[in-house]
Amino acid sequence: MNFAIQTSDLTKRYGDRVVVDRIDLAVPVGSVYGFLGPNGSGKSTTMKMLLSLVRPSSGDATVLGRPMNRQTRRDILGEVGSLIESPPGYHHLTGAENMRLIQRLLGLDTRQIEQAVRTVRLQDQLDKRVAAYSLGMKQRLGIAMALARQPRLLILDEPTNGLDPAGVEEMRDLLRRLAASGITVLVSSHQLGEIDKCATSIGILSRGRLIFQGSRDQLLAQVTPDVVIECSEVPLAAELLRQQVTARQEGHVVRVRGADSAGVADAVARLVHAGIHIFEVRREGQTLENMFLRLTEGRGL
Amino acid sequence: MIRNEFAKMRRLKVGALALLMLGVVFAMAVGMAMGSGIGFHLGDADGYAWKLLLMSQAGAVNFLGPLLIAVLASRQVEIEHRGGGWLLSATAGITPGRLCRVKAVALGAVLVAVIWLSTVSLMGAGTLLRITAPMPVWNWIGYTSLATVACLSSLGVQLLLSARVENQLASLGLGVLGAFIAVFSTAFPRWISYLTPWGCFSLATPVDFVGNNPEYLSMPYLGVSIVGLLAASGFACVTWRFDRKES
Repeated sequence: MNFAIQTSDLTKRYGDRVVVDRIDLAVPVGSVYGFLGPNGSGKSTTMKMLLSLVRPSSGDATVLGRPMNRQTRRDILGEVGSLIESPPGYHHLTGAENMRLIQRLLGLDTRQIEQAVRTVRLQDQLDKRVAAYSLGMKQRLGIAMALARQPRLLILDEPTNGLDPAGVEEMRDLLRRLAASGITVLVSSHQLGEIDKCATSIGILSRGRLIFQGSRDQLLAQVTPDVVIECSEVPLAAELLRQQVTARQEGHVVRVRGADSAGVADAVARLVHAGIHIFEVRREGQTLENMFLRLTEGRGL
Repeated sequence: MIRNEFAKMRRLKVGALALLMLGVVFAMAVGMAMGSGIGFHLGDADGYAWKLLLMSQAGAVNFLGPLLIAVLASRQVEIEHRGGGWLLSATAGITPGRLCRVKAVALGAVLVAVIWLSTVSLMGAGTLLRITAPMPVWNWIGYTSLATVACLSSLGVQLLLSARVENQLASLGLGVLGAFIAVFSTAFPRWISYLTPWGCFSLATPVDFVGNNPEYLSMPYLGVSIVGLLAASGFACVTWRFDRKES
């Protein structure tokens, strides 16, 4: 498989604090890679290292087949569009004037600018000053600036931050269209729900470590869904099961974590043997959001 | 990139501020010269009237120059802080230090135009007033050159402060302090004026009263040039460090 981004043991330390801890990212060419993690997990720092805005403490990154560093960054960045932190844009200028700045900065032709603006559907708002733009419009302008160079790779840091549901949906649609046009997209978010519908690959970062990387299906298969047991004498049942598996009382049911089919059978047998009446045993439907929360130990929200 | 800096000046009223500075320097210089009785000395063979005009220009520039520089630098840099311009440029491969250097060139061009146009306009005013003594062209060129060095040196400091400290009140405050130094450092020992770029404004003062008569002063070309070189080196050094700073 070809990768647009590959990192090897990529690490960033500030003093004793490890912000990014030996991560091995592999972003397939043509994918929408959802880069997920709670706030402060190291996503932005990783993205900045990929753009050579921050120097790695150790490890290395290969972007579009070339090692990314201070010497190569200028060349590579010509093919990488990015939107890091808040959307850029000179507030006192109009959208069109901002795009002209980018055109001159990167030596682009007018057709490239027009195409980028059309892609984000901002062509009717270009004569307004950026100060009068909504956050969604600013995000779209930022993405148009990133797209103007017709990049092979787009790196977007939390582009849905602060957007209303309609804006989030619009952003998802945009990401799908960009991927369909052959651009590899690395998009970060601290909320899985915002990008899981359009991401073809997912990486989850927690406390600076890459705790999962793979497809959506692989993520769903990663963690065995919980089993919920409705029974009599719930506190006693939970107490009994705790000796055997990870179990806890949750209202009027007992929740059992990480039990496979044999484990469930054993648990039920143990409860029946203790004279506890079983009313219902069911395995919970697994959502990606649950996976994310479990993998990040509840720090996702 | 320099074209982009001029494009960013749109709606920041940079042109209007520069024209205002030009107009106010002209008006202040002519006004001060009038107040000092230039009308009675238009025919003096020793160039009394020219000396008054030149001294008045220096007085006006000393007061207004540092303020204008602070305002221009802070406006041109604040837009980068507010609009995420540092990161935007960095992701296009333009480092923050390089962006500062480009800003220095663009704003420097505006300042150089203002200072030299004020000189030309006052030379014109003297001619229109029919001052009979020969125009002291070289004195005027000498003064304007040193004032240019003072302007560019203080511009460098103002730009660096504006880039480093996001709150532009700090930069504007430094401009006010600079104006104070430029106007009043003549009252202190001369070596103190060499310690800051704003002191160079007072060092550039070309004429002063000796008794009741205005006299040309010897111009510290070498000293001011050294201050200018040091300021340029310092600016290059700090912006080089900005280039290596992580975003």
